[in-house]
Amino acid sequence: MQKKESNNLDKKLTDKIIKVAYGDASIVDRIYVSYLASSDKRVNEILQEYKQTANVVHTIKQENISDQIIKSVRNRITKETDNGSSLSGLYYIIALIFGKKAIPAITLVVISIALVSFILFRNPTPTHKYSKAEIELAEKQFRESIAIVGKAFEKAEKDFSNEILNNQVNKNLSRGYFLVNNILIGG
Amino acid sequence: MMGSARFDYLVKQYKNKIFNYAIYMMKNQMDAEDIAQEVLIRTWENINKFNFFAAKGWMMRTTHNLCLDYLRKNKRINHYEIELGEDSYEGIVDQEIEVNPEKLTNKKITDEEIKEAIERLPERFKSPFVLYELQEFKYKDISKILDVPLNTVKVNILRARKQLQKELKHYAKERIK
Repeated sequence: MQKKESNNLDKKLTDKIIKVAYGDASIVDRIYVSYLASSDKRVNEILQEYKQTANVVHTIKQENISDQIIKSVRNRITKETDNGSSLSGLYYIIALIFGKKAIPAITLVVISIALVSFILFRNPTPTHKYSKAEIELAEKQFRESIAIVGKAFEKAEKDFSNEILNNQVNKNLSRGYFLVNNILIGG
Repeated sequence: MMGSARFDYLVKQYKNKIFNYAIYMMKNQMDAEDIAQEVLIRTWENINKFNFFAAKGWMMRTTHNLCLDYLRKNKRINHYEIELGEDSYEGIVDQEIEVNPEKLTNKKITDEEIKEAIERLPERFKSPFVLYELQEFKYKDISKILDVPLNTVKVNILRARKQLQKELKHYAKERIK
């Protein structure tokens, strides 16, 4: 029973030593193991063994994948994209429109485009340029209308002087004078 | 398009991580290249489906699963590992350290020896060990990638370290002979 407990303690200690050697132990464990290693030769040996391995493990250089592999991936992707370009394009648009995250971005872009277009392409009130023929026609129509109005005034003047002045005003005035004379001469 | 730019970035960032992980899992460069190629193609196919900020984890998980599929198809999973229970490793390693604390100090360990020793680790120890020690993933990320509990990740990394030490002792013995 005692031996089992001792083994268990050793196991826990070994775990701590390994963690310290690999550099991911807590500060308390580091201090504890360093203290033990300085006084216990066996602990120090285990610590050094693991440290040596950990150092080599941590300095292993990564292999680089050959460019040929990446090229062949790109070629395969390009072929697939060419074959299904219209479909993938459509998918992209659909995903962009219905993708929840894209909506605020799309709204912003649309508003920006609308604003910029409004500022850039805003036109002043449209000016219509008349052709020479239209101007001539308008002048002719203006002259005709003036002539019609002139004739109407001329006719009105004639009617006024001939009919109204002669018949209505002069006759009554003459009759009035005649009556006044008769009364005065007769009195 | 945007997808293409994302893909280029992911390839640039993670191509070597994928490749190196596959090397340790497959134990040979040719298979590792095939795996890396397949992962990159799947990344392209799913570029608009996964969260870009979780792409690293997605790519590593895909790499891990592809490696396992490949190994299963080719029946190259270590049978020794299946036969032994988890505690068996613990016993072997601890006992050796306790009874026969052979010195590795002052004996130069080469990169190649370490790599070979890592490759020889059982898959369930090797995966978290490579991701943690060589690829610098956090425990939490490894747990997600391998789909195992966080504590299992920690325990398996510790066991991998012990097993690796045992393997290196084997090298040391061979040299002395």
